[in-house]
Amino acid sequence: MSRQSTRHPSPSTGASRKGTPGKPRPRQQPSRVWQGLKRNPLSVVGLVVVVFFLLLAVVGPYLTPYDPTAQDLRAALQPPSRAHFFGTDSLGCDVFSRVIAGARYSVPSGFVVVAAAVIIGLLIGSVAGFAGGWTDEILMRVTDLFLAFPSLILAMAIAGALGPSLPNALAAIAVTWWPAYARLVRGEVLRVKQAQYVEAARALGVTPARILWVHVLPNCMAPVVVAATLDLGSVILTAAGLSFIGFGAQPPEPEWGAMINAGRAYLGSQAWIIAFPGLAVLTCVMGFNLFGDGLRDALDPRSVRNQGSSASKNA
Amino acid sequence: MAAMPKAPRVSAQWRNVGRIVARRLGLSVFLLIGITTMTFVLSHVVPGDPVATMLGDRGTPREIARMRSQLGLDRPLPLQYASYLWNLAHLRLGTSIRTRRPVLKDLADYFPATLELSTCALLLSLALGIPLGIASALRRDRPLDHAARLFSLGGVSMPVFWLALVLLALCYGRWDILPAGGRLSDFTLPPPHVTGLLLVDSLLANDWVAFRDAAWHLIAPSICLGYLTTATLARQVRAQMLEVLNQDYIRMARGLGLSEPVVILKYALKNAMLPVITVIGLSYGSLLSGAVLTETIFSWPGIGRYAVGSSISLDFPALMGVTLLIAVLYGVVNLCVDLLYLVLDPRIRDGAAREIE
Amino acid sequence: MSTLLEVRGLNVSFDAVRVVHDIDLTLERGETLGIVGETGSGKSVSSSALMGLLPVPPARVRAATLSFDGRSLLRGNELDLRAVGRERGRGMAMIFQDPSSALNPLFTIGDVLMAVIRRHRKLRGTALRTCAVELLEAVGLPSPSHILDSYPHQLSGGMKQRTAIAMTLAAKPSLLIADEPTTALDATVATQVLALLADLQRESGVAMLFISHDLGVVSRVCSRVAVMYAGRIVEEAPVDTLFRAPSHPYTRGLFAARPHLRLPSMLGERRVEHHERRALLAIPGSVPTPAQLPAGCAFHPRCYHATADCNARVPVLETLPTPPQALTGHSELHPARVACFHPVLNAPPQGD
Repeated sequence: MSRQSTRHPSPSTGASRKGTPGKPRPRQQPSRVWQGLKRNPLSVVGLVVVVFFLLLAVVGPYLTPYDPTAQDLRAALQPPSRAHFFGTDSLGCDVFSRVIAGARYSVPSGFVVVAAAVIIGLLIGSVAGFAGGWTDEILMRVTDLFLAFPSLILAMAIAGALGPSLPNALAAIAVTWWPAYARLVRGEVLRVKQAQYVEAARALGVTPARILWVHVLPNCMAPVVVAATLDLGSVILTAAGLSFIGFGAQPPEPEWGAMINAGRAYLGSQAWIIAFPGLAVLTCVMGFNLFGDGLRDALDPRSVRNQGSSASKNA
Repeated sequence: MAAMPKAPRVSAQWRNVGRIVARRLGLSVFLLIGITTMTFVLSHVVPGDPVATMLGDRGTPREIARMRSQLGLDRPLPLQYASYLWNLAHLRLGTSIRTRRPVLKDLADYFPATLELSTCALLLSLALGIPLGIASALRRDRPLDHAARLFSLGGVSMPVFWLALVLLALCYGRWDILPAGGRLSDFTLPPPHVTGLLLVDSLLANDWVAFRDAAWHLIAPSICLGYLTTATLARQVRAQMLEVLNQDYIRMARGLGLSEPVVILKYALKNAMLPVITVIGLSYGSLLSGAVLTETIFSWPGIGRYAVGSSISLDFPALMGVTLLIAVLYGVVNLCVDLLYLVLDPRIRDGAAREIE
Repeated sequence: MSTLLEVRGLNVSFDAVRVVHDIDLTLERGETLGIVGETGSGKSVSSSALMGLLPVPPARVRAATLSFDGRSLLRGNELDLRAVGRERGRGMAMIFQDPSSALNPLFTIGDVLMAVIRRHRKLRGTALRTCAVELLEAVGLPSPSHILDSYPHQLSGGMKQRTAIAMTLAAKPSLLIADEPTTALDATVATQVLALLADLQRESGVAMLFISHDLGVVSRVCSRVAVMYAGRIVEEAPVDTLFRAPSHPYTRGLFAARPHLRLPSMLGERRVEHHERRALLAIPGSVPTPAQLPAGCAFHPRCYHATADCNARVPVLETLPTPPQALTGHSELHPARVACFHPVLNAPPQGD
């Protein structure tokens, strides 16, 4: 008879990503993740929104009724109508076309920055966690350094020095965004490193690089994927914010933050100019957040453990 | 028979406190040196020429060269770096190229506005986010929980600058119940400068008119700045609370017949708040440094707006000053978080638990 | 004796998966009842359900009758959490398996202990502290006033379990539910804590529901034992009847799987004599999951005695024909009952 655990089955509580040391998370089959996602209708809504904006980013520019940067001063500041669904801005550009075209700026921004941050974070975090000792200490202190560096200020400094543009802004965001991943990955590596199969691989003489690549990293990916999904939204917000204060995309580029900035003067009278790009940012980010939350609940090791607790214990 | 409880002596506890504080201070010093180096390198390898920007059309090559040597920009980089560090050690942060005033003086002028705003935003988030998180956890999957989660989702998804503009359009433009921006109305006399925090200064001067006016001006920017933090806190508290409520010690406390308010608000909340403290610290740190957008929209004369102005005019001494200030603030906030952990968690006090990173 | 706890038809389910099926339990005032079963048999879940400690959105607790001290704890046929809440502490209290997780790490022992005393005994000031010290003394803890100011992490496992027991005693409950109170402890400490519980039970006359996976442990503190399998009680008998002649094949399997077991009177010293060594007989197969219970008797796939009818119907608990040698001295109130179509009658354990 085995020792009894008093844990009762309980669905996931979300958020915290503590793991039991030495216990590898069960690797998730995609179908199982999908099952978990489907149980939560909101995360499906999130997925739909995400897919919608992804499609918009890919094919959006071909769908716009007008050229998003074509000015027509005779048609400036028109309220929403059948000809211009979202009205026109102060230069006569069609806001609807610009909002659609804006997806091509914001959505890839998120992916580029998060991809860069994940890659750097994986590199630094896995080496720090796997090597330990002084390497770990030095790498993590450098990470702290970048973590304490205010991202907006850095972005502004870079924009000031190299000239404001969206790529410069994204570079600045990426520079301050990777430390979070380095810490996350390091923690995960430390946890997985103690697992018995890693010990076994080491005892068998498998090279450290191969252990890290084949045995450790794949088992660290679940929380990284969740954090990345949630971060996509935050990066889109930050990039839009930088464009809004003029350190990112520059007018007449149809970027949502820049559009809102350009429409500020017409806040009281022609609210549609800023209302629609703002709603676009809000919806897009909300989609990523909903999807990320759902993904986290579906991948949460504890929720998986608890669901399968009675099944796996005696098997 | 069981042995005596192995309670560490008080002196051992103080040694632990000392060790943790010393470690944190050491890290802070390292962080400061690192950040100043980074800012220095950044500001000196970039192609832009602040002097040319500053002088604009008047900048004849001779004029620019004279100005450069006056600012010490023509000396070799290592020398410039050494003198920069030397000056830093004596709290001389240099002179702002844009305002032509000592950076330290500028910061002293602009920082209280930011401090006041972020503190109000933080207090607002604490007052709203924590109860919301608790209620949400206790009414899990009921309408209240759904509403609270929707509200939090909005908070983490809302573009702050857009929310600020919408608030302005409605509360100022349409209903005229809130001011357009700034810290005080034009016709309100500022209270005598003591701390720079208008709420505090006006109270010290017993000036209720100024106090009311300052508070009135704080409402909209605090809401904008605090929404994200409120949402983050509500989510964190909810998740932690759900986790703690499932713990044996809470089931034990309930099983002992202790009243539900005592179980929740005393025994569960303290445990749930422990990891949240880190989040609060991080949030406060980013509130202090991340008020750029809100300050810009509400014409709030804080360091965020100062930084925007400085970077437009390539005013690197000012930017370095701001960065340094923010790094110091991070250090201070982190130290406070560490100390709070020491106060709240006896295991850390005894050195029995691993310290928090 | 009068009935303290009466449970008829208790059902517990999580998200529509039933984990406890139609359990009947009766506990007299001052009586000790053991519940034995493997992990996942539903014994801990039932006790937590009685205390109203299951998280209610996923969990659902229903019963035909559930009365404590003459008061019903049901509203309709659902557990009334308010009513249970009123009984907790003063009426029934619970000791948990792992004392390390059952004590709040951020509060001193004294803080929680005195909160319980304040709540249930209405004491204040010095009287309060004195009472706390006395309680800690009563559970055999050295330098109680020192322990009052200690945090759980400063105590050893045995001391933690003792303080947990002191906390439950502080409420003066009439029913103590002990959920594997010694499982997480070292063998020697476990023996001490077990002895303490038995002493306290004798002195204070508190009724006890003692949950364990260990027949030997149960036999040391309990007068009656209920054996659970897959969410059902499969056998219930006075402890010496059960030890003399376990009749359910599952119970017999439990005995056979134990390394060494003697009659209750001889337990206490764990001496294994060499000639008694024998092969351990494991029960074949494994406990079914609550979501996929076999039809009929849940034990039939693992049972040597199973026949076609075991597959068809769920056997209910029925009183056994009393063996003549067991007639003496036993209350007719709770005769031995077994839920099996083919009980093994009058055979000593290990015979299988």
